[in-house]
Amino acid sequence: MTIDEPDVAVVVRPGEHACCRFAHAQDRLQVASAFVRDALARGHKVVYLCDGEDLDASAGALAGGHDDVAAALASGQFELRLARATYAPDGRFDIERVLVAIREDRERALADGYPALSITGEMAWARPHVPGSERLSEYERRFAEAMEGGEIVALCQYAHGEFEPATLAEVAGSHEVDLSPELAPLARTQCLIGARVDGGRTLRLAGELDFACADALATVLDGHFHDPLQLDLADLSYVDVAGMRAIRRHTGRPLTIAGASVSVRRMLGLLAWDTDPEVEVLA
Amino acid sequence: MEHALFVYGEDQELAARIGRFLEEGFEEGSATIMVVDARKHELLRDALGADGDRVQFIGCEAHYTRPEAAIADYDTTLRQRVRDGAARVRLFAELPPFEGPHEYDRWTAYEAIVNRAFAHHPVSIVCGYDTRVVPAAVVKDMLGTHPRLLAETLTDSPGYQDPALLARALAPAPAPVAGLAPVELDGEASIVRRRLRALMTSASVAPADADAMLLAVDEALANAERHGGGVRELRAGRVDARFVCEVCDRGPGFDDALAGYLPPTAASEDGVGLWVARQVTRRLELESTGDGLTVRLWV
Repeated sequence: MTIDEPDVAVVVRPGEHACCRFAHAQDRLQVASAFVRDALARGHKVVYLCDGEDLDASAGALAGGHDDVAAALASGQFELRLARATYAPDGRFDIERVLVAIREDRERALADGYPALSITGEMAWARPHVPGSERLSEYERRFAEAMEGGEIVALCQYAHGEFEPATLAEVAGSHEVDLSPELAPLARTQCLIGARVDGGRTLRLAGELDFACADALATVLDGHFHDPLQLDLADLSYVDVAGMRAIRRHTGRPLTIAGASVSVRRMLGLLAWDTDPEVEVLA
Repeated sequence: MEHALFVYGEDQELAARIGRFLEEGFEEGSATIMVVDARKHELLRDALGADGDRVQFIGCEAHYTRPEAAIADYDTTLRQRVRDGAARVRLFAELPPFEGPHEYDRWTAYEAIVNRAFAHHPVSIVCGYDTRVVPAAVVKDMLGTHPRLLAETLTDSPGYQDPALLARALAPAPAPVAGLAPVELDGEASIVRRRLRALMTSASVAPADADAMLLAVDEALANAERHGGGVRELRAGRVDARFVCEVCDRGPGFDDALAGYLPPTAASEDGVGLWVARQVTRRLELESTGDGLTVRLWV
């Protein structure tokens, strides 16, 4: 990584089951690439389940010119596989079989000395004509079974607009972390990323919230979040005055902040929000 | 806010008059605070008898380190007392003795700024000046920084001056700094911060100072984008034991000696970035030239 490119901002924490529902493939690729590179940096075994047949092309797109990805492919730390081969090897989606396969992947990763398995899959294979795909929501609910023990991090990629809205809503509800479609403009700033957590009630932000991306956040908040606004800022590595103002463009509305770091707390004090009854800072 | 000057030369005078000022605070249900040294704390506590411990004590040597910090600390304390239910706050404060006229100029400017910084707080401040310790010329200057005088009663101070004018007259003229090198401005703000961090790391700037500088520079860059017609140049470099950055914009510049000294309120729109930049750095200088405004930051 050189100095002239942004840090990898990842909104999924170890041990979490996340979904990304951004509509545009480019936006999903950015999230997936950041997920992969962050997991590699943590030393995880990383498995990527691609929809496209051309694994080399997918690997190139994910690497985006970064040597760390190519090196990990060569060492075996990073593996790309065909999504269909994992989810529906014989053309049929069998929940139990997939859960067993993922548990086995985890066991293998641990046996090979990796601290955890990070796995992300493109879910475009799950079309209505695939037998068993009607049990997709059940699969996502039961994925928690595969995660017991905490050594798995998972990111499921669903293109908004390519699934029935009701299915997607149900699927999203089965993930602890939901990169819901309306949050894509945050990721496009290249320095900030957001996800809904806590059943969609809380907006978690990761990365750097500065004057350059503050307007994008303010627009998203105005359009898609209702009072009281609940934020989790634990994964924010940087914030400035314009960033703080973006999360509170209007006084007179309650705001709850969880995960306030030392620098966020300092900012709360400097802005006189620390004594403001409208601003609740959770311990 | 009320801001009064109390000049005295004997302990007994202090104990009697300020004792009364604080007792009146108890009677009206105000929160009471004294910012003095340990000896005067004891003196005032004894004078107040059983009520002495009702007054919050803040040691003046630790409180008055630099004007920027004193303003922020008072602002926090006042906000907390109001949040905790105080309808009014009575505050008696004394500066510790300082070395030399330059230090006193900074604190005279501070006393002027107080009039604007806490204007929105329900507070009565009395500043004690002990003629046994404080030079006569300083006491005379303080007549211009306090709108009220406390003797037997409170009266208007005839010599009171406009805080902004006084602060400007007292502020040392910023001098150009040599030896700074331009920092590449291409790319997102986050990338510029990374370049600057790398520069500071190689210049062995302590991590906490580097964090402070990044935030201060960021605020100056944001202001340049918002008010200054864009950033013209960012320069950085080590100057002796300090690290210095300059953010130059393309705007008309401005002349406000109080810029960045006034704590934000819920209604604050502009000036908050400069407040933050002043708070986190050692020194912030503003210089308006024909080419635009330069914000010079020191850590």
